[in-house]
Amino acid sequence: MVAAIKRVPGIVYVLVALIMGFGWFIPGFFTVSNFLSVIRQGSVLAVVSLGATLAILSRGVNLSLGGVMSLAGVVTGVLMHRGWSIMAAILVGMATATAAGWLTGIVIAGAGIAPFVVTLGMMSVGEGLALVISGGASVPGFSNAFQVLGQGYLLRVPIPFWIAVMAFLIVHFILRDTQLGVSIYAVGGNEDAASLSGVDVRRCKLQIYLIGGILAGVAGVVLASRMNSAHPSGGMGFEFDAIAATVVGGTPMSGGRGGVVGTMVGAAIISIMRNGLNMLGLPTPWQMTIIGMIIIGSIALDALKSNR
Amino acid sequence: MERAVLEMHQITKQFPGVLALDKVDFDLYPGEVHILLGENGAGKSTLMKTLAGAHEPDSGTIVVDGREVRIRNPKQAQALGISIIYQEFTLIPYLTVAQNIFLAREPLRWGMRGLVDRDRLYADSTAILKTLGISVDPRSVVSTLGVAQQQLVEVAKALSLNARILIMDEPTATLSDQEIEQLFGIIHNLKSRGVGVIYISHRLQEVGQIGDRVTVLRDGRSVGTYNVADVDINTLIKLMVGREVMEKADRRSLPNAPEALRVSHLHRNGVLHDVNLVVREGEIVGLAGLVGSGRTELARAIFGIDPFDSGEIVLLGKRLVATNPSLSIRLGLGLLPEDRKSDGLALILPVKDNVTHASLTRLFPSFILDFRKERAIAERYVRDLRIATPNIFRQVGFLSGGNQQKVVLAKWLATQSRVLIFDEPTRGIDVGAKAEVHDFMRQLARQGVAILMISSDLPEIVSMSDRVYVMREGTIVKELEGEDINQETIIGYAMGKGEGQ
Amino acid sequence: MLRSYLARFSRGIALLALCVIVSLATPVFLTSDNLLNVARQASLLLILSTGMTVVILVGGTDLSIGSIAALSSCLVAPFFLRGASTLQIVLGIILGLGVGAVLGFLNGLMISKIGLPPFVATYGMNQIARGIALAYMAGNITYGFGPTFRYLGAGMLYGIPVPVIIAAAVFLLFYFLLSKTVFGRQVYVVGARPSVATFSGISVPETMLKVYTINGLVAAFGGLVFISRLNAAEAGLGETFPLQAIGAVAIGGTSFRGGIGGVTGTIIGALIVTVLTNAMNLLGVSTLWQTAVTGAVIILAVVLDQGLVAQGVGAALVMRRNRRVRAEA
Repeated sequence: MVAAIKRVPGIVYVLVALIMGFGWFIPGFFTVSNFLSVIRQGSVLAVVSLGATLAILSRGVNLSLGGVMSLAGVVTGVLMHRGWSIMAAILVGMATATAAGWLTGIVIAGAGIAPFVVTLGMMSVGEGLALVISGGASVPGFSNAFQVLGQGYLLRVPIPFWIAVMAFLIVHFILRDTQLGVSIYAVGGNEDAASLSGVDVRRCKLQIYLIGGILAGVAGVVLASRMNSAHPSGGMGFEFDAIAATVVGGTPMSGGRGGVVGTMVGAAIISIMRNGLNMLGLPTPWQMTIIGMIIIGSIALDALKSNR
Repeated sequence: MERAVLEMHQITKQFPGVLALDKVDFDLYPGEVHILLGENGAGKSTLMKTLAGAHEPDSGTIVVDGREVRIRNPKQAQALGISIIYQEFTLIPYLTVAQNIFLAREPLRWGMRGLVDRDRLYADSTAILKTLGISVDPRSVVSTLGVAQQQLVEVAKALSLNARILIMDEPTATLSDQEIEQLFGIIHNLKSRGVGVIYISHRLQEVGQIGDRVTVLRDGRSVGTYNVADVDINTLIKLMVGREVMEKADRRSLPNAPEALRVSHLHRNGVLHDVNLVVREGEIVGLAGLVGSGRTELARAIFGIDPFDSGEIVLLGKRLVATNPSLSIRLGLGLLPEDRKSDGLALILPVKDNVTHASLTRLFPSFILDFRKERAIAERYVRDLRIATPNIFRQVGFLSGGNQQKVVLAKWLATQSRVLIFDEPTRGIDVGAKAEVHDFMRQLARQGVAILMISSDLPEIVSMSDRVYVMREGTIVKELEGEDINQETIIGYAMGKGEGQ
Repeated sequence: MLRSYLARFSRGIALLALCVIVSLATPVFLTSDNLLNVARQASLLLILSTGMTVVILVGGTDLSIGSIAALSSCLVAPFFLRGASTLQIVLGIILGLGVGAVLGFLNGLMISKIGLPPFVATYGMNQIARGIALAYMAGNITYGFGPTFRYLGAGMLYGIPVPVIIAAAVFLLFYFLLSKTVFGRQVYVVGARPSVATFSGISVPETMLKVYTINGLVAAFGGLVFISRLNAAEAGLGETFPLQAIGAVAIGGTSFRGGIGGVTGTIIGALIVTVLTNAMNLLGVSTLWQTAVTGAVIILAVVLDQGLVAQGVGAALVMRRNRRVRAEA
């Protein structure tokens, strides 16, 4: 925890520099509406990143987050189109995501298979089921009440932001104040030692991926609401941005240290970068390339540091 | 006299091929430090593991507080008040001291499952650290602490379990003098609180400094328990060594044989200092020393696994200031690593593959494998070394330890190296295979191969070596020849006899 | 005995059973047209998954092959347009393969020199290469290739689709490379136990660099065969390549822990994946199911594989005990 807090300031400078830089070059960057739109977009990433951070803290990884997000969004959307109430639809969407997370956790913890293979498989299961359920097309046009979730305001701040704040507080609380939190750090720091000390490693891993599923579910539903459409590949790529937000935020891939405070800053950096590049008028493909490079660069920097 | 907190009677433990403990008696009184001495492999760890719940003895009884107990797992050991501090720390690097002390046993907030009461966590930790007189902030992250402080945290963790029997396995191995002082202070504190401490050590001078009684183990047997006041170091050395070892019949002196390997002023920061040694053609040179004295690190540096910072190596006439394994092999140097399962053999691959791994480019210069040639080579070594395997296509992991070691040997014979470094060539293999490996080593030497043999097995060093270097704390402290090669002298230098007394 | 045979041939039996079931379910399956179609599709997958097999054998993974295929084939597609000379086509192919090799080499650098986890490095490469491809094509499609180039993916030779012959050649090449060359041995040791490779004088980073470079080249080659069959190149092609190839390799029995497996199993893996896809098409199951099924199959394959490994260890223990009993008797 202390290490995480010590590492945050560096990133905060990056964040500030980024904001100043974009503000200097881009007219309209420093407007309230742009600010709000960054917040709205960044919130979804923030929620997913929490799930990615949990996995990485335990020295695992979760590539299934994006696919599960798509799945949750599509399930919710399709059910609403079938006339289900908003609450029920959201509940079932969330339950689907939770089940996916639970299944991932069971396979990882129970069979002891490398998380990246399992979550890679689950990524395509999630995405694939989303395709099947949606019939391969996006599911557009929801009721106003549902759109509030992603587009509405509470106290003049976008609702997704409040959702992200809640998710953050809960995960932060889990990491700081629960036995699960301590055991996540313990498993990531030294799995054998944790096990020797009596930590139930399997249960810990199961819970990590279970919570990951829940968070992906929340993110998927909010995304669908914000876009007013659930797209079967809507969550695609989020898992990668989430890993990047985690690593940029000071939690190394080698696990055991860091935390979600940094991850939030990391998510902000990535969201602002996307927004800035977008406003600079850079075509989407180039944005993709540049952000890919920046992400790989930052993870590489982290890898080089820990190699030394 | 007070009742013993722990009594072990006639503890016997058999492992496949080895009698690890043979009717060992051991006891411990509250408030005493009972030192357990013995060479590597004498049975110290096994004896302690029967207490920690890692092994169950085949026969014999363990009595704690006058009640006979069976300890089947670490949890039961804990419940009996037995705690063990292993050499490798079991602390989690990025958790705080307090989180480590109470890992998986955190005080709960409002008694709710899963919720950690952090205030109490830190308060309780502070209290424990204070009673022990350990000045470590419970909020500091373990990875920021020095080795000594981490050791103290381990002690605190053990005692937070209300341990009345504390086992410490070579606690001072990595500590500086000042840190040892501090640790001893804590141990005195524990004694005054009535905790019984079993203290495993390699450092002879510590016996007098901290011990009340000392028990010497040798070959799985207890050869005596003494009051520290009644016994001197030379007696202890004799007890540890004990048996008469066959002296090497044909210990040769070959001062005029050409030098095969010369290491000069080799230095690797924090690991090796100014190491100088020579191995001549046809010579078997023993490299003795305690575990952690830098022998394996030296072998790795010479072979090129790890870099070195300064110094040079002359290998068969070639002067090297930096090297790597591929270059070493090409020049004719081989290293049979200490850990054959991790570094020596790919267990999931067949015998024939493992035999040729180190000589692929030499055997197949065209980069195309010649199966007939490969098969001939593998079968020849299987025959010559009498490797017990149904065929050369068997996965190495299925072979016994001794046969695995022979495959490692075959692998390096196949490279036709002129200089071979054997790191613990017979560790963990049965007596028959051991004799065979020794025979092959002698044969090789007769054929002019220069051999540097690292071993913790003193009889092996004494019976095999033409010359012996003794390493201690990263450097060579003594070169022994002829008559001087005996166990007492070697162990004396290795343990730093005459230092710090 | 029977059990060990079953274990060895379980994949072949699974394939056979699958074919029997599908042909019972739909008579269309066994028509020559459909079988040719299956063969054509399987051949592309086989090409891609042979390269992937080597990567997984060395203990890695490559999520970038789809983007590498897309970028390299889009860049050189203009060389193949109708009216191109043979020289131009050859030049284009060499250039395309070169681009793939360079991208693969960069993957290798990130993994072996910087120490990035393979899935991170190749995922990043996936995004970067795809971005460049999309930017370069700017939404356009290059189409209308000359017959010479189209022969590669759509031609027939003695009644056999050319891609099948190409895939067979690629397979044989890799089979040879893995089982008959020094390089193959090095791949297996590095995958089985990197430290053993190091102690044997085999450079782990160098081996990885070679493996990823080769895989980049194979991906580019797969891309060329693909656009030749489609008669068009667009920036979005090949998104499902990595997953399908990984699926084929996993079903083929190559372990993600490295050092176990080979391309022979991968053939069966590629065929199972293709037949499964084909069956779903024939049976009117929506193509949308393919992604989900591929993912599920990967998870299932690794779980079953884990079970088989555990079984193997159990068998070994029993064997040793028996031997000890014999020795004592």
